[in-house]
Amino acid sequence: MTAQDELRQAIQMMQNGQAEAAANQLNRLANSPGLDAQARAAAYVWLAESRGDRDFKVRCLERALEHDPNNAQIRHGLKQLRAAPAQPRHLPAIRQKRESARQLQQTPRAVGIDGGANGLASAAFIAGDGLLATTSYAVGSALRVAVHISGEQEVSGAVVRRYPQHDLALIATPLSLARKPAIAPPSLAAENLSFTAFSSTGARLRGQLSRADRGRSTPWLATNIHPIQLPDAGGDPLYDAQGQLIGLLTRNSDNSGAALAIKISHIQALADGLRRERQLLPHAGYCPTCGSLTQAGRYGGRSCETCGSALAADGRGASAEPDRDALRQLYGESEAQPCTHCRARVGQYEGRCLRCGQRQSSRAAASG
Amino acid sequence: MGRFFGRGEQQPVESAGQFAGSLRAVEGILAAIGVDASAARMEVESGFGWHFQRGSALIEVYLTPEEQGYLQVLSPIMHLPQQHLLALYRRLLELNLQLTNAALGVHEDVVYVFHERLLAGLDAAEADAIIRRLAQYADELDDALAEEFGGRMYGRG
Repeated sequence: MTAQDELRQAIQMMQNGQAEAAANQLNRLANSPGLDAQARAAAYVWLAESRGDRDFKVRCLERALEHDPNNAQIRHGLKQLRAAPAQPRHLPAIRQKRESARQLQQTPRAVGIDGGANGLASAAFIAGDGLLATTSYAVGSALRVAVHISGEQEVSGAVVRRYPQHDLALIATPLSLARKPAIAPPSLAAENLSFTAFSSTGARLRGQLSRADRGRSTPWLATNIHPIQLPDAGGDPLYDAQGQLIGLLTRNSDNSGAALAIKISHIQALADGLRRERQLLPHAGYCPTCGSLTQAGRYGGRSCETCGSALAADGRGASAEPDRDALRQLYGESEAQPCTHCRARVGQYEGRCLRCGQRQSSRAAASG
Repeated sequence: MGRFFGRGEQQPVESAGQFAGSLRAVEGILAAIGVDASAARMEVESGFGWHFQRGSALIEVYLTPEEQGYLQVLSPIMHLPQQHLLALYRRLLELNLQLTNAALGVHEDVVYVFHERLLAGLDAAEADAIIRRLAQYADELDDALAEEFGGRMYGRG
């Protein structure tokens, strides 16, 4: 495996919430002679994500900038971090927000989600700060959904992140929980474990895990429930006999036609990843098309840097003048070497320019 | 430009007589829609090609000899810009889904709107409809795309 492959692997681990293992690998790679300067800078940027404290992040981004001094994104991130006041143990703003948020004395087993792409769905609280998890299928490209707590109570929830590849959506609510939700430990998700799926419609489905991956590589739990049995668009939380949350039922199925559930450990890892993203990119917007965070609006860009879709007018930055340098970095259009054929700096795929499709001439590149 | 999209190394299967018949048919169709076929004729690598203006759009028509003979009609819209390609490519795919009997594509740094069909059964009315539709698409899309993504419109500087 090349150092570049190892870097990709470490980034993937970080995205999957394996921060400690990823940090070890990134630490090693950041000093590896097998990586060029830009890749080393990337290693430091991702290393910064492995911890929450500001000083560590600043040190990482300073090192990243030493390796890639022309990187406007790193420079901007460093500037933001330095400008931010040192973090107290408890952020006053967050405490104030929590005090003003409505507190639920009892955590409902399931809540209703309305206004998504596929009709009524279910969701579950996964953290004390009122963060909800449901399926990406249920939410679709909605920016806000109505959250039904217990029949009559309804609040507005903001979709803050969606992971279509994991069929997961995370929704922020103006609610807090008096007690954290009971979450089952990962080791509990064993074959034949009995569970009850709670739907916001009031329906309950009893079932068993039909096959459980003992490793942590797959985010899915196979059940003995058929998707057609689901009373809504999915997101129905599964609880074991002790009332601990073990996953969310989806409308995805395996080869045998049985519904798959997303493991709660995987959901929590993605939620932790979102918190880290938010720390590093506090002003990032949300792209409802692909579900990722986007910084394009902040720099005056009109399209998401991940999927290229046009951002809604209210998701774009207030600044009238686009920050062209930052946008070039963001869109990957800041290749050090222009295309040897058309001179565009839009990047390459498998050695071919993304604009003209011509294979790059190594001789011209070396001399240019 | 030669034949726009080839079909690999397939050999012509139409007989010379059949292809000559197709050629006469296309020239008849062009005449029927008001195009002087001999003036519009251009040199191509294989088969035949014509180009003419329809409204603000440049239309290119190709007759390819492979298999049963194909008619290709296309209109260049804009040169690819040097930036914002991800957004542009996505928009082109989104627009592709909205077009009727036409597709957007990229060939040698130029965005085209394109239609292709078998020659068999083609008459002047249908050819006219194809050309009108492509010209309309090209006319609608060139200004909008060039304005949004900054690319140079085809044939303008």
